[in-house]
Amino acid sequence: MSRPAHPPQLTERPARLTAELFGLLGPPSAWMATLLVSYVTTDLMCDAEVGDTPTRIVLAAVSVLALAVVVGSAMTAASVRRRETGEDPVAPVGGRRKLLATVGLLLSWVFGLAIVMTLLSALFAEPC
Amino acid sequence: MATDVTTPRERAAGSNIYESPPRWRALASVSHKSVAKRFVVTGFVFFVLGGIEALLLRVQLMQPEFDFLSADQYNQIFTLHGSTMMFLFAVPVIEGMANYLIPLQIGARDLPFPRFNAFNYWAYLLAGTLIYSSILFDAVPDAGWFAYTPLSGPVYSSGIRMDFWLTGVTLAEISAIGAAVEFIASILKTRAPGMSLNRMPILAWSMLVTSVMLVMAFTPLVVGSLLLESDRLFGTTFFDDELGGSQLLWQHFFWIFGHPEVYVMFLPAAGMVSHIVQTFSGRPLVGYTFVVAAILAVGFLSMGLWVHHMFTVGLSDAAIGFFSAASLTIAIPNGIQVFAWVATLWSGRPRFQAPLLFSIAFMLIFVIGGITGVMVAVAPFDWQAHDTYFLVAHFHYVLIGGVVFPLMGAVYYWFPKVTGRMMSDRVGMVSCALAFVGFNVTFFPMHWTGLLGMPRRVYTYLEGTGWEGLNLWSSLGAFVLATGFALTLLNAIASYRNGEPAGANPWGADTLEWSIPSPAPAENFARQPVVTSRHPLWTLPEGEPAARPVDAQAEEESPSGVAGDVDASEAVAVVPARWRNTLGTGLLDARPLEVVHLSRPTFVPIVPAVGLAVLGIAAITKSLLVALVGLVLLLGGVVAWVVVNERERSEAVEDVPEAAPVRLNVSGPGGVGWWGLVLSLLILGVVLSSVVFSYYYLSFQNESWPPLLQDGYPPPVLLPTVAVVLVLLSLVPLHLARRRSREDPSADIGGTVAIALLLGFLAVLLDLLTWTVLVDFGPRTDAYTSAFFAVAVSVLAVAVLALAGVVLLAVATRVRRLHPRRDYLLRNFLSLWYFFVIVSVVAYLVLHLIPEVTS
Repeated sequence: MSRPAHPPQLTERPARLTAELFGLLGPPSAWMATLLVSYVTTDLMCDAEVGDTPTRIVLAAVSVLALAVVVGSAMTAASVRRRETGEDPVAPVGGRRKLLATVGLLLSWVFGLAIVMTLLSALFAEPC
Repeated sequence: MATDVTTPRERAAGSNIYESPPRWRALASVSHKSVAKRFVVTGFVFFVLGGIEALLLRVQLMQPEFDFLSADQYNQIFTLHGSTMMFLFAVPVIEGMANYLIPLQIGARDLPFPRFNAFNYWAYLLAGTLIYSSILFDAVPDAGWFAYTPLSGPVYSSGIRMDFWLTGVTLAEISAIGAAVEFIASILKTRAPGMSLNRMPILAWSMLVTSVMLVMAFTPLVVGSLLLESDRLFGTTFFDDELGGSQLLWQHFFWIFGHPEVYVMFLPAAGMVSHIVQTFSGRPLVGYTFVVAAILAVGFLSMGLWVHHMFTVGLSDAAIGFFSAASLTIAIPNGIQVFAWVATLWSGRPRFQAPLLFSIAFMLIFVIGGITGVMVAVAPFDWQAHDTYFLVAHFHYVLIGGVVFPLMGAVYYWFPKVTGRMMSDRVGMVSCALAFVGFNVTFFPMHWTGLLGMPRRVYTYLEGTGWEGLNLWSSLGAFVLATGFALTLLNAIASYRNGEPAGANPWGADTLEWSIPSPAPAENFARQPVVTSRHPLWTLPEGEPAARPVDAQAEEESPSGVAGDVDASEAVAVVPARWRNTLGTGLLDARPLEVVHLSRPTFVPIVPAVGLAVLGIAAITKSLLVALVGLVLLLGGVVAWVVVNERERSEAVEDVPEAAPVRLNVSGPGGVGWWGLVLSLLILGVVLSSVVFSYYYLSFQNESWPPLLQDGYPPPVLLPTVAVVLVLLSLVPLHLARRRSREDPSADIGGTVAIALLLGFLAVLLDLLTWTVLVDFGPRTDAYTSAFFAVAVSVLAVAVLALAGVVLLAVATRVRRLHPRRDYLLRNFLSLWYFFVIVSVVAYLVLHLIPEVTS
């Protein structure tokens, strides 16, 4: 019986796995980055006394960029999920893909909302 | 329903090697079930101690200007109460229960690193012993469980009280982080064949997310504690405002840990409730996918809430807004979980027995705690309620409601599996009723005392404040609450001796732990099951086991067509019976990849744990001699550990045939060992990030950087540049060694590895020369110099680790040429060396290049 030197380590092609991971982890990562970047940026720009308006513009840009990432993740997750339509939800591979894609879509809503709330803080609260 | 997937003969065969040693040598056991029981029993002992402390506090506050306790005694007891409940009870008991349940639920025979698991327990036990031993020296910590600076610093806590706290807590945190590594590696890499991620039990999802949070959140507190101890011991200035340090730096460290800590306790408890609710409703949990999403969302969101504990320290409105928004958002995923439980109960046929009653009590109390949490997430309200009894009410609703009630329910639910006996359900119901009433009588009035202005952490109050009656109710309620919980503990003790015998699955539950006899046999599963469903024991018709022995694997589990894929039946057929093992499987779909060697019982893990505790004692006694003893024990213990491990694995390597479909200890991302290493490096990465964060945080907090240092900035850059080039060059010989070893497994790579070692050694020497001779300052001058040396010491620690690893590799290849099936050694050390290179480059940039360019 001939066997490969190393058993396979994943059952997904790298591109497909990347898409699945982006669909799943993109939204929380985008939110976390927005939160930290906004917090640090506010501190630095206020210390540098650049004024409220430029600070608001930068903060809004960070949030909008993050929202774009969330939308991209959601579209990727939706695409993965569509491809698995018809699969048994607890089947080993298709079911797993479908679960992670659906979880990714749900996370997109939650973290999209969190980023919108961050954006509102940036627009309506005094940055400095 | 047939639930036992193993035959008696198979169990008997397995028991020989999986049984723990008898009598006093049982302390050497490294089995996950033994370690779990130690964690849980020790944790509940601390729970009793913490509960007694709470009662003493409530007696003191029963009436105004009462002198049952002095102010000093009150401070000591409330510090011990908070520290005990947070560090020594809640997290360890959850870890203990997960220790027992996770391998059983995922169909494994043990956690993948049993000796490390035992080490974590001993470290935890010694941490608790260290903190409580302060009573013997009249040095009980008294600065609160949060240890805010400057109160906990060298000026206002000049004795040894806070040294006990800092060393004990650090040791407890190390234990918790170690347990997290076990759980992540176990859940990702040792699930039973067929248990793809979508079939994982909810508790496994909870523990996976919780464990990642433990690594990311607890590690910064370890760093913060070490920096504070350094201020106290060596006179550094991280938290000294006058020398450029910052009191708020400690608050950041503490709450980066402290807020996720709440969810570290809540998520596993909620996971346990999910199992109880679905079992006692007789139907699958409604919205499994939504609950998994909620667990992940809570995990991420909880890492970004820490600043809401700091709304009153003077942040900008926008910054407060960011964290207020995040704090409000977390109500959504928590609400989803509550709706899922309610919907499951609504659509099922609930059996109102003790585990479910505790779970329902949890839901009611936790929802109230969640609503007051939303209230304090709104900054203007928080400014009013901050540091009042409203907060005490809120977090006890979350922590007792969200953690202790579910844990009590879980005790009733899993007690039969652990002991083989049932607890009295009637006593459980009375216990739950008393605890529920007692809890609300104790803590609901505190919302009012808080809104009336009563500050927390005060040992008494004046008459005529209007707080008297409410405090009396709280104190009386505390005794009812204590009686309720005490009944459950007594019930457990009595049932352990005289309880009704339990069958394999007394509740008719669905997960794998209920497929084996009660109490669980030593080997868990003599033949590991293949999972074909999310609810393995509910899916198949009566009489047919859903989790089947692996060699009965069904057609639907056939390989996906990926080249080299292995089916489970062939995989387990090659597993030998003369050493402990479990199957290692793929991260996503749990396909068999390797046979994981599990280590035998030994006392070795106790030695490094004692070494760490002795180092803690050295910090308390400020004795260099004691520190040396601790260091010898730590390093000697680790070396002995590695030697014993490798000897056992060398014996095992020949037992798995060359042509087997799975191999022993696969190297690289397919192997569980690689994941253990990567997680350890992640922890080191968080340590280094926390130290670099301190450096830049302090630099942003000061108008000039360095704040006081006159000469010597920027530090020399020439020799560090040469050092970093040498470190980068060392990658070349290591890569060559890796390539040669891959082409010819019997090739002698010792010489090539030695060249890398030499380059690394030279680089470290140059850095040492720069930091000890060429820089014109010491660590005590100001915050800059303290932060500089903190980064330098971190790099040196990683360097020592990496160099020691490569020395070990060089010796191993020289003495015994690397066996081709033990090439995980080379790959693991290579990963360690990569990390060393990254750390060296980061330190060079932070300490030398950026200051040189910007000054």
